[in-house]
Amino acid sequence: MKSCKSCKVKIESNNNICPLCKTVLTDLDETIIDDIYPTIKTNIHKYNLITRLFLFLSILGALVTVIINYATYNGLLWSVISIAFILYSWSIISNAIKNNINIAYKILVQTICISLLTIIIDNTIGYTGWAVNYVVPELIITANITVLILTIINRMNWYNYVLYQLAIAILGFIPIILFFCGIIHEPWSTTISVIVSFMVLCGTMIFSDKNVKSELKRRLHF
Amino acid sequence: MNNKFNYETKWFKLDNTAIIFPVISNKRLSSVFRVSVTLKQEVILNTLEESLEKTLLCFGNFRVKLKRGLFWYYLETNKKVPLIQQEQDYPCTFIDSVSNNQFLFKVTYFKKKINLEVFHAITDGEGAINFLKALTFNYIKLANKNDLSKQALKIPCVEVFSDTEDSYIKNYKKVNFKGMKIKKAYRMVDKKIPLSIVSTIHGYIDTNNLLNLCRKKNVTITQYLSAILIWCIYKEYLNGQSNKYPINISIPVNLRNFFGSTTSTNFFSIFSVGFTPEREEYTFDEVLEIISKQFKEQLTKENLSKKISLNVSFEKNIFIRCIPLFVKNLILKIIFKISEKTSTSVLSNLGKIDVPDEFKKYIDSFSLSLGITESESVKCGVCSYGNKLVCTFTSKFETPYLERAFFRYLQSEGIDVVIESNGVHNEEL
Repeated sequence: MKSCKSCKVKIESNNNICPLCKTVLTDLDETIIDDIYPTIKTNIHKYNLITRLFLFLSILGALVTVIINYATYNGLLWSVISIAFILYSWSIISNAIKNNINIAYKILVQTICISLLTIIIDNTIGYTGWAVNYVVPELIITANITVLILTIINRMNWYNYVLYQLAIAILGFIPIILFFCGIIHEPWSTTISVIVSFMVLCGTMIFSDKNVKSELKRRLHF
Repeated sequence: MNNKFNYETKWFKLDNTAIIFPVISNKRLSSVFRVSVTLKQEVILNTLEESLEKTLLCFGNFRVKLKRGLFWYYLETNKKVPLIQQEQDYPCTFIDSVSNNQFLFKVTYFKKKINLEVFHAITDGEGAINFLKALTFNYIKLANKNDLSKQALKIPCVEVFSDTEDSYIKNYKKVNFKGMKIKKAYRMVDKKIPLSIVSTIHGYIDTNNLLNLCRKKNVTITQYLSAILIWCIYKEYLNGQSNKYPINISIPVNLRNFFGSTTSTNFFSIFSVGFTPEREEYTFDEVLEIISKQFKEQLTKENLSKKISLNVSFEKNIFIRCIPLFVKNLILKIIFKISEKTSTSVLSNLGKIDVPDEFKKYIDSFSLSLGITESESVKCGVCSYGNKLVCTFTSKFETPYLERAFFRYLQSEGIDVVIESNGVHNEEL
């Protein structure tokens, strides 16, 4: 036990300095006490260099393309496409390559991101509607089928995928809404996308077991 | 393994106060608090693991992982086994569930000390102390099989088995939601310690001495300590000058006794006491009188019941329920940012911790450390066991002005204080 003559309190410490006021302590009985806290080594340089570097390069790249595009402008805003690609690569970094994220969720996010990306490209190089007419419906069909295969292979863990599976299935109905709004003109890909989605919804309802149903109840409780 | 197919996963909704914690928590604001017990013998890892396994069976709300629904977060049974490690972090650091087998609590040990760090979404101070007590009893029973009498070995480790009721909903009375007044409070500003370092200073006080002094002044220990805390902020950080913002201390209250609940999930409420230094040179007794009066006014069952009902009515509102989670998170974050400004610091008193006589000789002390936030950079956790009351200050400030003033004041009132720290203030940073 030690004592601090400024604070007038007793101190339990092997150190000779008062933790309250830094006065040098007076030792009362010269005992060595057990530390109650470990010495902790903090890593001061612990920050993610790769992420920061990538962020810096993203901003730099975007800026450079905008400037070059502006300087050599000939009616085509191609820098929008490169910025869209930079943003898309961030979706890969933050979602697709991480290993603790549900794979069905990755498929959902990638479907949405790639759809947006193609729509942006289509719009930038002069709208012809190839993205919404062909790419988006086919992407949704592929995503639906991929998750379906996933659930068949990994039947025990179906309940882990079911929420995202339903979300992708619901996405499949967007083309038909766009069709009736007059944005999509191609009936076949839209029809197939709707049919696949509808079958996935039906299949989930018919084949889902107790686990899947209780998972849905949990996820959707409000 | 037939039950692998038929076994339905158990799940809970987050209780009313727990809703906020998953939203606001990150590495900077951990929403974690720590309760520790210091034993009289060194902790043995294997025995601790065995006793944790036993203890978990009695606490359904600890055996969970946090999941995200479309509208709310929820807790789901976690079938993994929790990890126990030797203490290697500062108190109350953020619990990264991925590296923690998805558990929302962490048990660590160091020499004679067992720490339980808890993410506030699963339980409050009382729930955590009950868990720690159960863990300690199980540990003592296993480690001292031969010393303990047959009767002592039969003492149950919990009083109530796995009660996970949401007592907020249970005690809710329908009210009309009225807007709350937000009054900004004074905020202590000083140079902070870099990185994730947290300073911890324990002050050990003789409970009887303090109790006698409080009796003389006709106040409770919590009232007295919070008055000292406010007084020290007033003296140290405001230099005894007047200020337009009040110095407000948030005090968590355990609602179990008020409403007769035994739940091991959250069941607490926070009320705020404080005073606005309108003129200069208040005396301590004036402050103590203002504070103890506020305690008496606010700590009534009607008042607390009104608070619960107000909070639950937010959760029960049909419009709020239908908002998707990510939008709800934004709203809650804004509400939290605003409400955070109304408090200068926190003083949490867990009260007296009782232990069966048979186990008393194995336990030295309990302590409570609170996780700090950006705006509340010093917090004080109090609990007492036997004749030892422990005031623990966790702080982010480089110089411990508040702690120093607090303990010096107690000492000047004739109450002996023994200080122990985690040594942050002595380190060369």
